[in-house]
Amino acid sequence: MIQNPRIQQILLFLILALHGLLLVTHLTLHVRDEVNPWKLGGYGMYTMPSPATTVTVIAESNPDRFVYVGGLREHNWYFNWYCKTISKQSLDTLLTENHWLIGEPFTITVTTEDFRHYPAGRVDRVIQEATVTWETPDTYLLSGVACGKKDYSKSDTIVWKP
Amino acid sequence: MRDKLFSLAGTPGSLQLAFFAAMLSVIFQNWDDYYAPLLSLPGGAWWGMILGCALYAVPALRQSGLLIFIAGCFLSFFSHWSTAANHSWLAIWTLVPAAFMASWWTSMLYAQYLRYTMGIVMIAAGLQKIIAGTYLDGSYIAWLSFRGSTTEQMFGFLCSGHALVEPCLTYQLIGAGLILWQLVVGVLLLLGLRALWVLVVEIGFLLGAGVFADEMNFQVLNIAILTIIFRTGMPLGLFILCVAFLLADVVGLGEIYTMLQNL
Repeated sequence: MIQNPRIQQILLFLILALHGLLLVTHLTLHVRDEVNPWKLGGYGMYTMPSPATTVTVIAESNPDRFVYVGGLREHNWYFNWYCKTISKQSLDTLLTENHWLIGEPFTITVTTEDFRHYPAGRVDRVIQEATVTWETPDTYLLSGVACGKKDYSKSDTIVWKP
Repeated sequence: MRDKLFSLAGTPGSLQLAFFAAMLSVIFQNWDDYYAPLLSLPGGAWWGMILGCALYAVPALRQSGLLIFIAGCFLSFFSHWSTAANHSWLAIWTLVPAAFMASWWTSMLYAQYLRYTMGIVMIAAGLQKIIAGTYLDGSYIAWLSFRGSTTEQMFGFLCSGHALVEPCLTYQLIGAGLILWQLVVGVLLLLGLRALWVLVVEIGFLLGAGVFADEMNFQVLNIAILTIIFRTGMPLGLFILCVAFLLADVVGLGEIYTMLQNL
């Protein structure tokens, strides 16, 4: 507990400023269609139907095999910020959860749902597309496009073995 | 008794009751964590919040209860912050600072902080709707009226199904009215207007919106905070109503309506 009113005042001001900054950032991202308006601290719930995000991972040589994407979603904030590039940590989790993907080239596609005003309805929009190729049996190269405009590439070596 | 039920005297007890209602709204919001294992982060945090809330009800243990509740809130929030709804964020912004105060209910500074917070939240919510454009052209009201859940379809009788294809003026007016009201309340809060009629209309608006969306947690949190801002505290009658709505929320108003229809 803080007894000093001056310190209380400063602390509350700082919290208020932080909250305000988050709101301005969220509104800016919403204007650019780069964030799920329902999530990440904005107050845009019920501005449109809650957009569901779908993550699809397809292996080049085995396109029909099931891939568990729970960790990939979780480590990328459930793709609620559409421009967040896929992290190395999340890819590591994906490979941990699906060992058979190691050494296997594959693609990652993330879609969200936009709201079409008239005729009113939901339409899918791709927000992330990425490919993973292998430079050595242990080293992958991840390259992709986030929210349709942000190109990126990351490389990492897997130090663990299944 | 009648005085207790409807008194807006703003006694320390009625302010505490408002805060207690806000705490309950957070617990009910995280109701799903009830199913998580007790020793997991969401499960343990949820039971921690309940313990904090129970201790808060005992005057001698109030501060300890508040701290335990806030710790539970934090743990629960950070375990799923990227998917957390508005309610969870607002609870963190509004309830956590109370733990810094020796006696928040006597602190005008805390009430002022809540007033500014709710002011910017109302304006941000209004701006989000303007940016989306779905309220001004009526498309989202039309969507809810014909594709939404049971309660969301309450405005369905105002326009024909053609409203999904072409704008209907009534839905546009409803959408514009909602935005205007949120912006006006936000500005009035920032300016410091605490007229009783604003509080009464806003509580009515929040309850109506809660019934429409079939989601009462957020509304109860907002109502509780507003009664602290306006220094009226929460009359016992309003508290009972809020608890009834929170309990109904566990099942869902739409579900209850359907069950009653099938009787």
